[in-house]
Amino acid sequence: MSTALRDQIKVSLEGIFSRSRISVGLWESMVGILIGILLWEWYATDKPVFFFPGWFDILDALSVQFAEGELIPSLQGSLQTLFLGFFLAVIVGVPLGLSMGMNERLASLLNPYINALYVAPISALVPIIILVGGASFESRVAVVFLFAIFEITITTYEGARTTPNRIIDVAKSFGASRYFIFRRVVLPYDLPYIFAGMRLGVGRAVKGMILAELLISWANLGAMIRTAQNNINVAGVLSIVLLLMILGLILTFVLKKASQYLTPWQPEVNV
Amino acid sequence: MDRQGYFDHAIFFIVVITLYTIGVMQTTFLPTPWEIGYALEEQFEQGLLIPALEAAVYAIAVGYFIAVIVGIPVGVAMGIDRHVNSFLNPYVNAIYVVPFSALVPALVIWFGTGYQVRVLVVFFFAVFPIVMNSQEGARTAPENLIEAARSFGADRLYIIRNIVLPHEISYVVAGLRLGIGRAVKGLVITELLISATGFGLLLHRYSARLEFAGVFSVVLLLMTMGIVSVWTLKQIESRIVHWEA
Repeated sequence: MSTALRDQIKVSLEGIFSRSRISVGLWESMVGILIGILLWEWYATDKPVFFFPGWFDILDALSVQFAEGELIPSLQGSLQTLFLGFFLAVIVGVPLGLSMGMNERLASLLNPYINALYVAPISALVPIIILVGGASFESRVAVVFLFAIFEITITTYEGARTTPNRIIDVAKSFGASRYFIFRRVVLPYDLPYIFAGMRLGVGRAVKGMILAELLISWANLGAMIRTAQNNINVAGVLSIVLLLMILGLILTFVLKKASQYLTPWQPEVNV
Repeated sequence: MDRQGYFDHAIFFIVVITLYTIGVMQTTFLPTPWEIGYALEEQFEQGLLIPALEAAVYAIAVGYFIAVIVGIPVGVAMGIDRHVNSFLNPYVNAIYVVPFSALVPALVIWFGTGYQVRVLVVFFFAVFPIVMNSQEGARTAPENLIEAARSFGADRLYIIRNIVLPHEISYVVAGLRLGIGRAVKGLVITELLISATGFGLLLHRYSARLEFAGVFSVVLLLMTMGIVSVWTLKQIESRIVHWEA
């Protein structure tokens, strides 16, 4: 295809799309997703349902799980673990990151350890958590906590550390106290970062939650996955995976909106 | 590190050791360091560790290799062309969002408990940062430098060789570093969830027998694997990308 022709097609396509409110990029993404779904469905047509289910079988499995009354209590139990672990990670991780950002000495002390734990596979600690805490709710909360905290601490620290020095200097030259600088300069600058860290952390928390429920005690959604696995019911596994994906997306979206609403001076940072 | 830094680390170290000693004395589950050492030695001598380690390294090597040779071209293509980008973006994001630990039971039904599942999960874990970084690097090639070079009559090859590549390579190498860390994480998750083979079997066995030192030695080995692999790539990174301090 000649370049001129391609450009012309592009211009006319963009003309069509510019009249609708959806951008070209979004259309292309949607076409991409649709192709993926159709490929999956096509591959599933001549496979046995229990082995490779199509999309309708997966949604069917989800509605069966819902109708059997297992899904909602499981989801509630899972969310309880998730929120408690995530909440603890926030109330430990944010102050830790902030104090590292305000105190260089503390930062240079803790940074190597936090970075090492951040890159280390935290999931490897699960067997030890089982030995210490047993197959309990607390153990599962501990896994969620450990999955989320490093992301939150590191991002919070990053924001506090990169607070522009000139603003701090201005505050100092007007005789601002340390508390004033923290409250009026560092914290407002850091808040979008804190939200970014929470956004990343909540995604990891969901992963920690399901790993804990699969490994520590077969509970809630994890137990449903295990049951489906034992019955060789792939659709039952994938329906929960789908549910977890949607859960992760919703929580991430909520935190994104909250950050746009609560920190309008800088709605979003890329970390 | 300055003298104050050494001092702080020494104090921190002493505090940790003290807490650990109290933990060893007060609780039943904390093994002493030499007990962990003995357990590790025993596992080596019984020939349990080497096969598990071989299988793990093999899975990481294969999965990571495929992630590199797939991830870099895909990422670069996404960075250069925004149509490719918006077409593939949902899939890249999906890879990040999917909780693979929940998917492993399905993967076990499809592929069994052998190396395929490990390779697959390692691949998906490693490919994400490699694609993202390659894309970011290709997308942010410094326009002003390219313009300047062009206005001095530089040809395409010169621009790619001296501007685009040095810019891109620092991103790619950072992606490779993040990728190896995630590769180890992916491996560990599959090892834990598949308790029929490899490290999963070892952990399962020692946990069942309440041999704490045995569990600790395997856990420490896995975590060290993650830290050392990332650290190694970081060293290589600072050699290759010496122009970006």
